[in-house]
Amino acid sequence: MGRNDYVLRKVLVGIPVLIGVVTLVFFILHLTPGDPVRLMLPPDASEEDIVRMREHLGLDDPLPVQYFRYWGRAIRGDFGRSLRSQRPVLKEITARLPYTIELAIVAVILSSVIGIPVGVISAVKQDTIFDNISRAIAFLGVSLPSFWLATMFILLFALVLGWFPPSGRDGPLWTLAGLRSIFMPALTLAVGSAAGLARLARSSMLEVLRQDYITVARAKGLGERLVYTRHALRNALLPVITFMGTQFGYLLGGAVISETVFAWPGMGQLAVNAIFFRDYPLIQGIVFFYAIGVVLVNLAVDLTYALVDPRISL
Amino acid sequence: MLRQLTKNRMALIGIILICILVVLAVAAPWITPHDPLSQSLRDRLAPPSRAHPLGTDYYGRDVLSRIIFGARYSLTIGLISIGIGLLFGATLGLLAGYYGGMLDRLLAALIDVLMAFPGMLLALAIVGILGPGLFNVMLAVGIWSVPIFARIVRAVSLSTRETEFVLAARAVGAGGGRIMFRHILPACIPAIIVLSTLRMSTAILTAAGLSFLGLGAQPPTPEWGSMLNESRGALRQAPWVATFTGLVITLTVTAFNFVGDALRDILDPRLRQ
Repeated sequence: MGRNDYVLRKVLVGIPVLIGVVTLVFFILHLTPGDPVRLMLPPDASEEDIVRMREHLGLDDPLPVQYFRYWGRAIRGDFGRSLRSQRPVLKEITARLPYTIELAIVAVILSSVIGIPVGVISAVKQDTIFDNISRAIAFLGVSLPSFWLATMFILLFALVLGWFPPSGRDGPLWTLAGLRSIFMPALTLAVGSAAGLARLARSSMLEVLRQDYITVARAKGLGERLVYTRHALRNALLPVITFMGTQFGYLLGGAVISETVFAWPGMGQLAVNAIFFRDYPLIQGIVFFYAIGVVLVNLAVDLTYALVDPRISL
Repeated sequence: MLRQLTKNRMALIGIILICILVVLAVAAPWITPHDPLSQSLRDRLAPPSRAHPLGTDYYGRDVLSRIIFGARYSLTIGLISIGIGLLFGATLGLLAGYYGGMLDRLLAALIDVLMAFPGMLLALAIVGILGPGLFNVMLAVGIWSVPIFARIVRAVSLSTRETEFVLAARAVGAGGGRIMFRHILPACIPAIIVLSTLRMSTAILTAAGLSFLGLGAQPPTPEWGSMLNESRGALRQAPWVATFTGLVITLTVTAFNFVGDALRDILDPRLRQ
C-alpha cells in the first residue's frame, strides 16, 4: 500500500465520525422537548407570532428536510445566528477559536517538555529514587481535578506570590504580559496529560529496552547514550505520539474548565455561556467545530505516525 | 479475591478510604457538627477552629459538614451514572456480540463515533442539549459511559459465544435471551467490576467538574464541585474552603483509582492496555 493510499484511507475514516457526531447532535436537539422558538421570542409573544417565527425558521418542515437543509448550510459555513448576540454563529466561533488553539498548543508543548523526558529518564533509571518519586507524582497528577488545581494555582501564584495575573489574556504570546497570562491556564491543562505522558513514555521505553535489537546494539559496543537516543527512543515514542493526539482532544475538553476559571476568551468559555443561555444554534455550531477538531487531530496523528514509523508505508 | 486485594497496599488504602467515605455519606445527618445549609453571618469566613474544624465559608456555613454531606452527592452521582452506562452499555454489547451481523456492525460504528469524542466534550455537549442541572449531568456522564461498557461486553460476548458451554446450552434448546443472561453475562462480570470501579473516579471527577462550571448541582447544594466554584469568590480571605474541598475530591478519586487498578491486575489483566 502506498503512502497516498494510507493518507486517503485515514481521511475517509474521519468523515463518518464527523457525520455521526453532527447527526446525533441534530436529532437529539430536535427531539428533546422544549421549543427554541419560545426562547427566542419575548415571553409576551402571541401564538401567531410563534407560528410565524416557526415558519420563518423552517421548523415546520419534516425532520429529514430540516436535516439536509442544515447540512447544506453548514457546508457553506452558515450555522445560523446566535440567539443571544444575534451575530452569525460562525463569526462567534472564529473569534474565539484562535485563543483555544493557542492555549492547547502551549499546553501540549508544556506537557511534552515535562512528561516525555521524565518518563524516559524514569525508565532508564528504573527503580531509583528519581523513578519512584516521578511515578508517585505522575499517579497523583492523573487523579488531580483540574478545576481544583486551577483554583490552587490562582491562590498561590496570583494572590499570594503575585507572579502571574489571576485571569484574562493580556496580549499576544510574543509579549511578556501575554506569556505571563497564558502560563497558569496552560499549566493547568498540561499537568494531567504530562502525568499520562510520563507514565506511558516510561512503560514504552522499558518495553523497547527489553528487545533483542537493543541487546545487539549494546553488543556491538555502542555507548549507552547512543543506544538510548538512536535506537530505543525512536521506537519508544511511537505510542507516545498516538497518546499525544488523543490528549489533544482531551485538552479541548479540559480547556473548557481552564478557560472558565482563568477567563480565557476561547471556545470553552463560549460553550459554557451558550449552554447557560440555551443558545441552541451556537451549541450546535460549537459541537460541529469540536467534531472537526477531533477528526483533524486524529488525522494529524495518523500522518505523523507514517512519518515516524517507516514500516507503515510498506 | 478479597485477600489478594488487601495484600496490595495501595488497594488497601483505597478500600479503607472508600469505606470511610461510605460511612460518612450514610451517617451524615447524625455525625455532622452543623447543618450544612444553615448560614451564620457572625461566623463568615472563619478559619479552622474547635467549633468549625475546617472553617466556614462566605455565608458562615460549616465546611466540614458540607464536605461530609457532599460525599452523599458524589457517591450517588457516581453510582447512578455508572448504572445508566452499565444497563444500556451491557445490554447493547450483549446483543451485538451474541447476534452479530448488521446489528453488530451498526453498534461498532456507533461506539467508534462516540469514543472518538473526548469524554468531557461529549458530557458537555449532552448537558448543552438537555440543559444544566444535576440530573442531566448524571445522564450525560451515564451516556458517555455507554460505549465504554458496550465495547468491553461486546468483546467478551464475541469470544464467549463460541465456547463449548454456550454451544452445549444451545444444543439442549436454550433460547437467545437465556444464553445471553445466564451464560454469557456471567463471563463479562470480572471486566464489568473492574471497569465500573475505574469509571467511578472518572464519573465523580467529570460530574464535579460540570458542577464547578455551574452546569450541574446548583448552590446552596453541598456538592463538592459546586462548593469549589462558590469558594472562588472569597479565595484570598478563606483559602481553606477550596483547599479542603479539593483535597477530599482528590482523595476520593485516588481511592477508586487504587482499587480499580488492583482489581484489574487480579481479575482481568487483559484490560491493561
